[in-house]
Amino acid sequence: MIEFREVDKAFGQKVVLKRVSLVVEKGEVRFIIGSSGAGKSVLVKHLVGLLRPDGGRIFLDDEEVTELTEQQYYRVRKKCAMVFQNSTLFDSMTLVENVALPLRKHRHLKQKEAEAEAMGFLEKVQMDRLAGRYPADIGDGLRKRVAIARALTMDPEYVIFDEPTTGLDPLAAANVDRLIRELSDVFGKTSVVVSHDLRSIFTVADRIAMLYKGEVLLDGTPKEFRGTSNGIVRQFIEGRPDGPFEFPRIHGA
Amino acid sequence: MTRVVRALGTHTLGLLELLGAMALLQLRITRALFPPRYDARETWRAFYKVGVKSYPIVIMTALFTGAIMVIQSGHFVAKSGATSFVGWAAGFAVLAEIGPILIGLMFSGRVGANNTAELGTMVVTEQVDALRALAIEPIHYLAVPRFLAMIVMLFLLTALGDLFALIGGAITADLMVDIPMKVFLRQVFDAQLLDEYLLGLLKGSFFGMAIAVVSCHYGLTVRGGATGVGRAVNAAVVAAAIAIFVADFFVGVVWTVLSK
Repeated sequence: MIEFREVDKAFGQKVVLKRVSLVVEKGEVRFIIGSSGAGKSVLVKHLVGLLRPDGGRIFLDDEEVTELTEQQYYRVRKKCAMVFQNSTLFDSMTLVENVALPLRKHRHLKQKEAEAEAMGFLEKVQMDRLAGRYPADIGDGLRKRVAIARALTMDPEYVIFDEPTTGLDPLAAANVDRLIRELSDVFGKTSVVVSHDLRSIFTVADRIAMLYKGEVLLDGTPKEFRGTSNGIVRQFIEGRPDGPFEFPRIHGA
Repeated sequence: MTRVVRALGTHTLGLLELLGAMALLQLRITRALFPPRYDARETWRAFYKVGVKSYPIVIMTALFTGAIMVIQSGHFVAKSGATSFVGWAAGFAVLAEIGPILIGLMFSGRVGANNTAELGTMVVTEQVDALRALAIEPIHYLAVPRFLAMIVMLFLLTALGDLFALIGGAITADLMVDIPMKVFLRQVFDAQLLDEYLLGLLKGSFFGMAIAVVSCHYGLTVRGGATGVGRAVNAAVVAAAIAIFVADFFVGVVWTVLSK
């Protein structure tokens, strides 16, 4: 179980998270939604220690991870993999080398053994045929699939997806959605998905939390979201430009 | 007046912060070496990229450095008639001072700038965060291999550069100063410049270390997208050039003191 307890975060004058509390149960697909700049990515980066909170506490499987050192966080990161918004594959390596890297580093496999095993992970995401290509040679959707394969090599209990379907065509997005669902249903992994892709939200999520102005505005099941009378949530999930929703102010504009 | 003092104070604090950050990076790199915690594959790649791809520019620089030294010293000795000193003068200047410095500056412009740009791009595209998220320490994986490669390769490239500088000098002596190649090379060997040769190689290693720390520091601390990467590369090249001259001074001083 993951628990954020009253987490605060600000970058200079800009307050991004205000006493955010959120629980992610084991095995579920938990979506965190909200408009761009609402603090979704910032929140999940706290879980793997890429950002540190200004206040509040974070727990992973009943262990507090808030104050862990960078070295101590490596243990957490093996348990809790992250797939970044921009895939973040390493440019200088082929796709199979990208996937083989964590296997080589953490399981101390030789390069050939690691690549052989990496091919299995690439096969799971239907990318084995392009294994020898470089990230720059393929499109966004394919890169995301490889990034997912790379994250799975560590056999994590938790997988964090930061906007996994943003910028993908509908078919590629549906493939990624299915993969996320399978991770939970078939492999028992817990997924935390940051997204504002409405189609994904209602087809994949077990539970949803919506961030608005740095706070959790609504936390519930897709059914509860559909039935809510909260005007801001309704406007967001219906994608209407007019309504009570206040868009984040762009500083300097 | 207050404004001047404030500006001076701000710059001094900024410089101290920069030096502190680089010292800390050097410490972290050194700690990763004992026991070795760097990636062998990445280290091999760094050696190839840093060394093998740099030798053409080093050879080119060295050939002309040797040639220039002979032209300069040849002009002087032609006036005084001391032609037997051409080999000594050119060899001394090239092996101990000009060779390592010019090769170091060229190396910094090619390898150091490239390293800052590569690491900086990895930072702004979140590839460094991705490494951390994969529980791989970026200093061990990225900085240490580059550090080792730059020290070893600049040492070897300086040795190679010395050889080509002498060849360049010998050709120029033959063609422009009327000293046959064999005579020029005999003068160099008779001058017994082994100490100067070793001093130059030592300087090469220290320059490699300085370029590695400076370029890794600027690369790993990039902020602000593509513009930030550009700024970091610019700053790294300037800082590395200064570091080369500072290292040259201190290595020279220590060498002189220890040689007494």
